[in-house]
Amino acid sequence: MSPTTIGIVGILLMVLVFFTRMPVAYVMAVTGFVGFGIIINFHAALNLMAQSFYEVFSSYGLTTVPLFILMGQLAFNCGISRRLYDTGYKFLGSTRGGLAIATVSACTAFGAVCGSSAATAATMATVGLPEMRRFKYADELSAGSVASGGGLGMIMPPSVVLIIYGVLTEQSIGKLFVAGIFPAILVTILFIIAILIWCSFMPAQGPRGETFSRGAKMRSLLDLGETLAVFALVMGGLFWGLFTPTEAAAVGVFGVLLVSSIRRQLTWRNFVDALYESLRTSCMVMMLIAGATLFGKFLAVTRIPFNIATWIGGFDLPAFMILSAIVLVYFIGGCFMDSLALVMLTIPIFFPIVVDLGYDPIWFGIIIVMVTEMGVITPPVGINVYVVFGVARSLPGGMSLESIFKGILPFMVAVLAGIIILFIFPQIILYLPDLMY
Amino acid sequence: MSSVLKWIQCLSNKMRPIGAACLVGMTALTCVDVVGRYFRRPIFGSVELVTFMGIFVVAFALPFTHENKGHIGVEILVQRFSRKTRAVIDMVTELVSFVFFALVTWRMVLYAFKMAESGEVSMNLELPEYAIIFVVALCFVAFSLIIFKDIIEKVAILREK
Repeated sequence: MSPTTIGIVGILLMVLVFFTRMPVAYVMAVTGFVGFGIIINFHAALNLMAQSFYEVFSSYGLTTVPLFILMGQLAFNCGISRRLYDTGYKFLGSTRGGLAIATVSACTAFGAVCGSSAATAATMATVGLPEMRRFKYADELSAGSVASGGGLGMIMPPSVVLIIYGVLTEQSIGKLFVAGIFPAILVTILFIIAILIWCSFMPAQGPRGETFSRGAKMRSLLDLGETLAVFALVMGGLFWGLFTPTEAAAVGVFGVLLVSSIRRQLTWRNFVDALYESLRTSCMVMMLIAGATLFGKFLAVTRIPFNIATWIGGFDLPAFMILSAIVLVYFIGGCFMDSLALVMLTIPIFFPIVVDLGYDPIWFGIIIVMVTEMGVITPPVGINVYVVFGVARSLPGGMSLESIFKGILPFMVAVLAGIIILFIFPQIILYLPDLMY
Repeated sequence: MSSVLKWIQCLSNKMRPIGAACLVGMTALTCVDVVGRYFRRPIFGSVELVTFMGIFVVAFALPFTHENKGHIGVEILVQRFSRKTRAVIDMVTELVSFVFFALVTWRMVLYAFKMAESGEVSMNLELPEYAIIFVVALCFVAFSLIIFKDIIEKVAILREK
């Protein structure tokens, strides 16, 4: 068998084994090891395996991962989300669908200190769902806005997926982060438009809430200040090249700790919980990278990425058609797989093609995150939907999974519109990173 | 057997705080370094120390993460099966994982020995890197044992009437 055939058989087998619930990281590592052993020899594969794990664990570039995860977990455990939501609520609550708009905006703001979409969805569901229930919002609208809003946590920097993309493709993480800001704001605006259209057609689904005095509104703005300060410190430091990403993350952790200690919201229990949860998530991410690294070495010797690139090049299709096909693959893959795992699995194949087509690597990174953001809310695997479902179960009367999936639809359309806009106007992504050092 | 399983569990529980301490250490050291640099007194070798602590964060969390189902897997098909069928599937995949990570452990120990022979030390602080690889290998031992514990538990499920 030729290496390419072995590669294809290996990939197919791997996808089959995914469905046994075996951790994706382990499956990729085992496939990589066995495949490499068959094509080269097992002696070489044995030499490769321990070193691959150690190299990933000992990469300074990746030390930023546990730190940014810790920053998000601390923010999650210290009530920052509640205050962000309250600010949005006081300003927007009195308009139609205002609570849903407040939720989406708070998700974006929370995403500025948290790099994970599931954590953002979980924290906003805990805060936002009971409020929307109180004002008799339809389940579709409330759950849809929380689950989709969670995805904004992934686009808005810091973002774990962007870190991984940056490390795998050797792009500046600082630039990727800065590039994510405008697209995140764009998607937030599109989400708000979606909610407004929704509520103008079905006003009963998102009734008006309370009105607050100007004084109360202004006081609530102070709560926004702390998040803004931490975000400005982290992103400003990266933007002006004062910090490496690892340093920015450590400073961010310190900032969140400081804010929550001043507010006296940091208990020892919260702190330890945040540490252990970060440990767990970091270990998961690093093992995924290690698995993807081993798998990548196998893929390289099969020559599959090279062959696919030549094969696609032979069609002589316009670049945007090829790119659309790639986006479609991510979208379908995202329905079944976690976004992080998907990115790691496919980047070695698609990244060289996209760069060959002349697209900007930073631009492509943001597009990938946008598409996988759709993946986290699409059935049957959309992780955010299950997170929201899990939180909603504790509400009186619960919530059906079906209504959450229904509620997602308008937001999916909004993300799709966002992707199209970013295709047509790549400057939205590239303007800020181009200003950097 | 059950006392062995308890011992493995205890080992995993004891490793977790060490990982957490390293995470705190990474944050603190990096912050102090950033501030120190501002006053032109950066900490010598901080990048190395942060990297080593980063290694321990992941390595010491290995058993705990596996045990708490921290890793991403595709659940969609398996959750439709009965408890016993799931136990059979899990047992097979855990057996594969166990063999694989036992191999990784073995190679990690050999790698540590190789590095010890070569006498390679870290660039600034001249710390012996083989010692760190050796600790990582020990963490992989604990990790493999936790997978082993899972397999034994699946056998127990299959024995239920």
